[in-house]
Amino acid sequence: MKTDTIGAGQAVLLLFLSRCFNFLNYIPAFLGRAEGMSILAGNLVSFLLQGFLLIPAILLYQRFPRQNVLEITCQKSRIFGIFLAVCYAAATLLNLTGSLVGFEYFITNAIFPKSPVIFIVISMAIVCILCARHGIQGIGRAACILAVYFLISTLFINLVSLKSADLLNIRPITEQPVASIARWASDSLAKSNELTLFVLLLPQIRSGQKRTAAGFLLLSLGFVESMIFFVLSVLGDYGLIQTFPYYSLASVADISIFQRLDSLHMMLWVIVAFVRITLMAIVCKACLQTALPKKLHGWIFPFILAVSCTAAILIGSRPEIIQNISSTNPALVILLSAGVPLILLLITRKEVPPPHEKTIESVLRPTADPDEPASNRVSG
Amino acid sequence: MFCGLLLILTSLLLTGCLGEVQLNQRAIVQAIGIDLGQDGGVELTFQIFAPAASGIEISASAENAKIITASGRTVSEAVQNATLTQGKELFIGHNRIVILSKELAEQGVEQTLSYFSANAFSRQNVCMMVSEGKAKELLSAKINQGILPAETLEKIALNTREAGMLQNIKLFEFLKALENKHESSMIPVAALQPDPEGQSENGSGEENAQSGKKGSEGGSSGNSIEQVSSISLVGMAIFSGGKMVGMLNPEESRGLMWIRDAVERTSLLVSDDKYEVASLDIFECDSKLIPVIEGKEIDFILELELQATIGEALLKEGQTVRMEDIDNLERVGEELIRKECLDAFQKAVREFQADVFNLGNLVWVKDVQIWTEIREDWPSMLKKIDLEVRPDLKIDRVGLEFKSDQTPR
Repeated sequence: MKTDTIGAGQAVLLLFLSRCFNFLNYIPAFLGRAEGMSILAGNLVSFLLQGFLLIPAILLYQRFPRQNVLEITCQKSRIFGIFLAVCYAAATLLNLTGSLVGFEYFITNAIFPKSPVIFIVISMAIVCILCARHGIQGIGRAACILAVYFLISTLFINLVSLKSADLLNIRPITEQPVASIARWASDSLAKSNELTLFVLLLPQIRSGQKRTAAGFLLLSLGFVESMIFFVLSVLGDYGLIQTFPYYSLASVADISIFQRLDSLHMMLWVIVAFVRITLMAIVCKACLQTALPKKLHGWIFPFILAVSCTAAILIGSRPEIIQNISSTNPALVILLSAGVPLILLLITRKEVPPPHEKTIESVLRPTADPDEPASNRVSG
Repeated sequence: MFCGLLLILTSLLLTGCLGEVQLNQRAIVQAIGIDLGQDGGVELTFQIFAPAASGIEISASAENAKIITASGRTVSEAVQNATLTQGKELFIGHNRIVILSKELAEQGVEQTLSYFSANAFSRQNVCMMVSEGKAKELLSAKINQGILPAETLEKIALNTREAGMLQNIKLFEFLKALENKHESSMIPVAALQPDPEGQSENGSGEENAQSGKKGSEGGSSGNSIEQVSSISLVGMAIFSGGKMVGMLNPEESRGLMWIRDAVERTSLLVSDDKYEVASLDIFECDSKLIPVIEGKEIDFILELELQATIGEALLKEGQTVRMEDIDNLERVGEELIRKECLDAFQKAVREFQADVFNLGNLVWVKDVQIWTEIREDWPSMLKKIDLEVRPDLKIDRVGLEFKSDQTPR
């Protein structure tokens, strides 16, 4: 059995859980005031755009099956391929660090206010890196199990909070509807780093790449919209000034002997953070493998661990930097998920696609080293 | 490798051990009372869980509670001072109720409550109350029921809501209304009942609570059985802009609940030419507030659909009833509901200019354009808004007894 590939379902759930972390880590207070409808509409627009953004990558994959953007670029220009791999690795490392900061920010603000940042960051990062060494399939299987728990728990929280929901709390847009929707759509898009992961993971998915994209986008859209709906209908504008709106929703939801459900939410947070950081580490390592000589491959995970932990610890106690990270521009996501595949699609438009390879080539295999043993393809 | 992973994973479970405080070093707060302190600060009263002794059966509430008071310029400072004076760290994660004194409420509570919305340990779904007198007096009152006095207080609030008398408001609901300039909120008002024996209202209760000793003097004398609780809810405090602007009496408070569609069940006492008094037990209530917008003129229609049963009836001397007389009872019931609604609307909206019925939000949802034009003037517009109440009461059950004039004597 191959250990460097995952099924379409696993890919959907991996990307979905990773996206959920971004939602749970969403701090609307950093973006200023808004009306409920603009947030809901903005997210809808964002997911529609995301669907379009994935089209070039899927078309490129159809032309060059079992190859990802880095491999295709390396075939054209080795130097440019390395440059692109470093760019993708840097972007992924940035997201990985951002996820660590988000995890730590939540724990030290909402759960254990007195706990030191360093302990939270290092313990989480080590666990994720160790799991990343077991490869994409391990985390893919874990995602299937964790997603079930995640969905049941969120469903429970939502159903419990339903009694406090009031549709009047979701306010229609009063001023500049287009600008308001565009702002939230842009913000949602900027946080959709999973598009980049999808582009890099395409050859990893055994079959049904289109279904994976559609499944991920629809599942995420449904989840995010329903979460926003519940947060807004229960907490109204008060939810938008909360640092962690969904956590606040869970903490006011009570039923029977359960006086608050935030403990359930804490578990969800740890689950999605674990999946996301592990997935980021796997993809980051794969990108760096393409760029670095083979003798350095063994140092990639320690490097990722050191850089991400150091950055996260330094940023963790600086809310102003966290605010800047939270309101990023979608340009990077658009460039890496749609721009690069589109350019490659245009460059290779007259090329005859290579014949189907019998073995699965993937992002995890450096193209510069075609004789590398198959065992090295596993992201560990 | 596996052992290493297991060791690190296990360490994640130990994050709660960072900065740990042992249970015997914690004072578990069950209720918090906030009064206006000297120099514009606050005086906090904490009711903490403190069983009289371990190993014995835990019984009456007052024996399990102690009172701690502390003052400060802010709530945080008062909490810190409370910790300094009594040696234990206050844990407010199990707090059930926040009581604000009327005096404080009238000065504004936004600043005071910000502590509870920002604190990681504070529950945002705690009950809110306003005390007619000092919050400290209310928290110190002797309650002889359940394990914790705060629990009984919380249940009083919940039961009053379930009885359709007063709306129970949670902290986050209050803060939510506070967040919007055009919205107003309300909190039930609690008061100490006058002592029938003429004893002091609270002094003995506070003393008992503080000492943790079993007392017999609180609300009782001689060998008579002690009263369970000396606290009752007497109305709703109306807030606008974070300040208490007035109060509704119990009838007006129920009117407020009719309009807010918050009544699940309640009991109406009515009388007509045949009935000396009849109790109509409402078991189904559905209300809908509809905005009627004509230009910048805004009025509201309240449609109520109610189902009731005759719970108790006392006929006038020599009177018998027919089924047709039930229609008259329905009309009388409808009239009473209409009056309660109009009284509540008149006082809260027109007199206090407080939008406690989500009127602004209804207009916003119905006509965004109009709302954009009037939102700045909304508080002053409230004075001009009319309410038309259209109750539809159906008595479809007459209970187990019906004295018809066709009943053989």
